[in-house]
Amino acid sequence: MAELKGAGGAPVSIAAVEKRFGSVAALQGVSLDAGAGEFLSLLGPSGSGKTTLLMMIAGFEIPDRGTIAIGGRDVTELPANQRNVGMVFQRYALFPHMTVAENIGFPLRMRGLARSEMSSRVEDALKLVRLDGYGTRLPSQLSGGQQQRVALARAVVFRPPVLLMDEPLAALDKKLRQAMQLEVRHLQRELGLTVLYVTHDQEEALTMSDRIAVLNDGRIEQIGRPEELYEMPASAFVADFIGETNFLSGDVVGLDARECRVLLDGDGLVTGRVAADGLAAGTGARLAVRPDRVRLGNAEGIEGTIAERIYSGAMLMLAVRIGETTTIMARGPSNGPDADRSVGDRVRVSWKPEDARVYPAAAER
Amino acid sequence: MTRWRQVRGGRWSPLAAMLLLSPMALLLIAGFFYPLVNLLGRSLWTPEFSLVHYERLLGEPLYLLILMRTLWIAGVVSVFTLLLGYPVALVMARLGGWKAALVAACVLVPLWTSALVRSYAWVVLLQRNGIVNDTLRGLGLTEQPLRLIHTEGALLVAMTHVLLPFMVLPIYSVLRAISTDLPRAAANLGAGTWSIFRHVTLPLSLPGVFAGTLMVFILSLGFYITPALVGGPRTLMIATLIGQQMTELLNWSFASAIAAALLAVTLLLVAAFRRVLRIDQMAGHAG
Amino acid sequence: MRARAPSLGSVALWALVGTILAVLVLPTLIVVPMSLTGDQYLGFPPRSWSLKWYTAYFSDAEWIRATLFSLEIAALTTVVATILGTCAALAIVRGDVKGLGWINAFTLAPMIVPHIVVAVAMYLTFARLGLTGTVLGFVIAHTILALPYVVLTVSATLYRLDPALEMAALNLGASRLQAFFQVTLPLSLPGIATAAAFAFIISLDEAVVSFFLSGVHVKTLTRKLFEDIDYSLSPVIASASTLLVVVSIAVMAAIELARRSVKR
Repeated sequence: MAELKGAGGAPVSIAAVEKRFGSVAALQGVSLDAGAGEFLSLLGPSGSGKTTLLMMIAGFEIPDRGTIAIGGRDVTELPANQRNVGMVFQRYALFPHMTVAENIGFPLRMRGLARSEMSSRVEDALKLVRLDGYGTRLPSQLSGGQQQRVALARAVVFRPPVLLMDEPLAALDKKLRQAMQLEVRHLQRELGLTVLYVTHDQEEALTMSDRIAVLNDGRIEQIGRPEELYEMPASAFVADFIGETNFLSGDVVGLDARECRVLLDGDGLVTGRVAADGLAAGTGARLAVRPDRVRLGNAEGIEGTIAERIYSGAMLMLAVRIGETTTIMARGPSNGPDADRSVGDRVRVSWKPEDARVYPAAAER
Repeated sequence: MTRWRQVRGGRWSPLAAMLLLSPMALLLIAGFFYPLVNLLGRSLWTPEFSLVHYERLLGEPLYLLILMRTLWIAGVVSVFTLLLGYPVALVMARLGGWKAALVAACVLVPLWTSALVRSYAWVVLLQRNGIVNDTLRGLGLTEQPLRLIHTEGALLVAMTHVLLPFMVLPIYSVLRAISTDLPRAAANLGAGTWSIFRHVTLPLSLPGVFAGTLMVFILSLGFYITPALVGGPRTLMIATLIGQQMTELLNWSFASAIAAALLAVTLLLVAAFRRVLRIDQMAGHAG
Repeated sequence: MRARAPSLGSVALWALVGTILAVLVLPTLIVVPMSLTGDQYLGFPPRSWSLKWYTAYFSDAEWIRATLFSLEIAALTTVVATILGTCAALAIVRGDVKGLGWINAFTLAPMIVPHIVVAVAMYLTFARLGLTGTVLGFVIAHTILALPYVVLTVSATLYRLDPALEMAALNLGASRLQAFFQVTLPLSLPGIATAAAFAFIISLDEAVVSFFLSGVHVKTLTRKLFEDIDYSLSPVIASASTLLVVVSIAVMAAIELARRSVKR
C-alpha cells in the first residue's frame, strides 16, 4: 500500500479564468486556490460552471482567459494526457471491454511500466479499495459501488498529486453513497491527495469538504469552510442553496454598521445582521433566517398563526402564517417546547438578530 | 442518445477533424458533385447557353404526358402504400416477441432484396403465360390471356410492392415511440377502441405518415428499375425516359436536361420537407 | 389471466395485415421455386423440379465473370467506404467541427439524389475519363452510394458511446491515437462491421448506376440480369437472382441478429 503513496498532494491554482460557449458565459473571472492535500468541493446547481472548471483542470477545455497551475506549473494549455491528474468520471467511464485489472493497469501501461511492476501496483490498488480478487472480472459484472471503487483505484494507481471527481456518487443509492463518502475521504487522507470534488448535493459537500466553493452562473459566490457557508452565507444565493432558509422581503427602515431593521411587506418589523453591501434606508431587502434559529413564544416578535404542523421523526416543523402572504418555517426537536402547539394557535415569532442576515433585494436571483 | 452531445471537451481538434473528413469530401466532390454540375452544364450549354432542352421537355405533348404520368403514378403509389402500409405498421407496433419478429421479417426481407429481383418476379408473374393470367383463365374470368406486362396497372402494382417497406418502417418507428400509457389514459378517460385510434394514435402517428408518404413519393419520381422492367417503353416515366434518351437515342444533352429537372424537383421536395423527412432513419434499413 | 375474446375489428385487421404481408413476401421469394424448375421455360408453378439451371449458371462463363466482377467491386467498395465513412463519422461525432448541418447534408446527398440522375451524371463524366467499365470507376461510384449509410451507421454507434471513455483514456495518459485504437475502435467495432455489411450489399445489389457504367464485356451481375430479363425468360436468371437474394438476406439477417444480441 505504501507503494501507492506518491509525493502527496500538489496545490491547484486557478486565476481569473473565463470561458464562453457561443453566447453562453460558462465561467466569468473565476479564481480559486486549493492547498496541497486539501479536499475542496465545487458546489452549484447544474449550469453553474462547476463541471466546466473541472474539465479545464483535467485539460478537456482550454480557458479563453486566465491560467491554471498545478504544483506551481502552468498547465493551462497542456494536453490532457500529459497532466498527470487522476479523475473519476460521473458514470465512472470504466472501459467495458477490459477487465478490472486491465482498467486499473491502463494508466501504467500508457506510462510504459514493466509488467511485474504493473501487476504489483494493480494488486495494491485493488487492496486499497477492498476489491482484491476481482481483477479478472469485467466492469459489467460489478455492482455500482464496486464499479465506483474500481474507478477510484484507476484514478490513483499512477500516483497523481491531484484527484478530480465529477459527481462520482450521484448514481448510487443513499446508503451506499454515505458509505462511499467516508471511503473517499479516508482514501484522500491516506494518500495525501489534493481533491477537487464537483457536486450539486450540498449535504455531501458539507460532510466531506475542508472547504467549499459555491458556484452560480459561472461565478464563485463564496469560498469557505462548511461552517462559514452555513452560518455566514455571503449572498442570498448561498443562503438559499446551502441548508434551508426562510426569506422575508420588505424595505429597510433602519441601518447601522452591523444591524439592519426591515419592515416586512406583510407588516411587522424584524432585525438581522448586515450581510452584504448595497443596503440603504428605503431600499428593498431580503432577510434570511434558518428555520432552526426561529423561536416561537407568546411575548415578543411578530404575530402569526400556525398553519401547518409537519412531523418527521426527530424533528418537528411548524409553518407560521404572518399576514396574507408570508409564511415562516420554524424547526425544533419533536420533543421540544413547541411539541404541543397545534394548527390554528396564535403565536409570536422571533430570532436573535445575529441569527438573521439581510441582503439587498437587487441581489436576489 | 443525443445526451452525450452535451458533454463538451475531449473532442478531436478542428484540424484533425478536417483531416478525417477530407478523404470522403474529396471523393464526393470529384465523383459526385462535379459530375452533377457537369450534367447541369451539359443540359444548358450546347455549346452556347440555351434553354432549348428544357423548352422541349415542357413543350412537347409526349414529354408533358410522361411528366404527368410520373406525377400521377408517384401519387397513386404513395396512396396505395399508405393504405396498405399503415395497418401493417399498426399491427407490427402492437406485437411483441416472435410475432413481432415474424412481421418484421416479412417487411425487412423484401427491403433487403434487390429491387431488380422483385421487379423480375413481377415480370414473370404478369407475363402472357404467367400465374396471374392462368388464374384469371382458371376462374373463367377471361378467355384470352390479358396483356398485363407493360401496362400502367402492372406498374402500379409492382411499384407499390417494391416501395411498401419504405412506408411501413417510418410509420412503425413513430407508432412504436408512442407511450403505451397514452392509449391506456384515453381508455381510462372513457374512449373506445375506435376513439382511441381516431383521437390519440392516428394524430400522434402523423409525422411517420408524412415521412413515409414523402419518402415513397420521392423514390417513385426517380424510380428506374421497376418502370424499366414492368412498365417498359409503353409506360415511360421520367427515369425511363432519361434511360431511353441516354442509351437508345444517344441524346445526352436532352437526357441531362431531364435528369437536371428531376434532380431539381427532388431537392426542392427534400429541402421543403426536410424536417418531416427523417433521412437518417433509413440507415437502419439500407438496401 | 383470462384472455379477452378478440373483437371482430381486430380479427379483420389481422386478416388484412396477414394478406398484405403474404402479398409482400411471396413475390420476393418466388424466384426460389422458379429457379428449381426442370422445364425449359420459366413458369410458375414449375411442372418438374431440378437443379439444372444452377448447373447452367455455374458453367456459363459470362454469368460467372459478371458474378466475380460484382463480388470484386463489392469487396473493394466495402473496404474503401468503411474506412472513409468511419473517419468521417469520427470527425462528425467526436470532432470539434462547425456547420454540422451542412456536413450532414453534404454527406447524405448521394442518398437523396435519384439513382438515375447519379447514373447519367457519372456516366457522362466517367466516360470522358475512361473510367466506365473499369474496377476503379465502379468502386468510386459504389463507394459514393454506400458512404451515407456507412456514416449514418457508424455515427449512430459513436453517439451511443460515452465520450467520457475517450476522455478517461486521455486523462490516464493515452495519446489521441492510443485512445482511439485501445478504446474507441474496439467499442465501435460492431457498428463498423454492420456498416461494412451494408456497403457490401449496397454495392452487390446496385443496378442503376451499374447499368450505365458497365461496358460490353465488363459488367456487373445486376447489369447482366437486367439485360437478360429484358429479352429472355430463361430460368437461369431465376437461379442467379436466387443466389443474389440469398446472399443479401443472409448478410442483412446476420446484421439484424447481431444488432439484437448487442441491444439485449
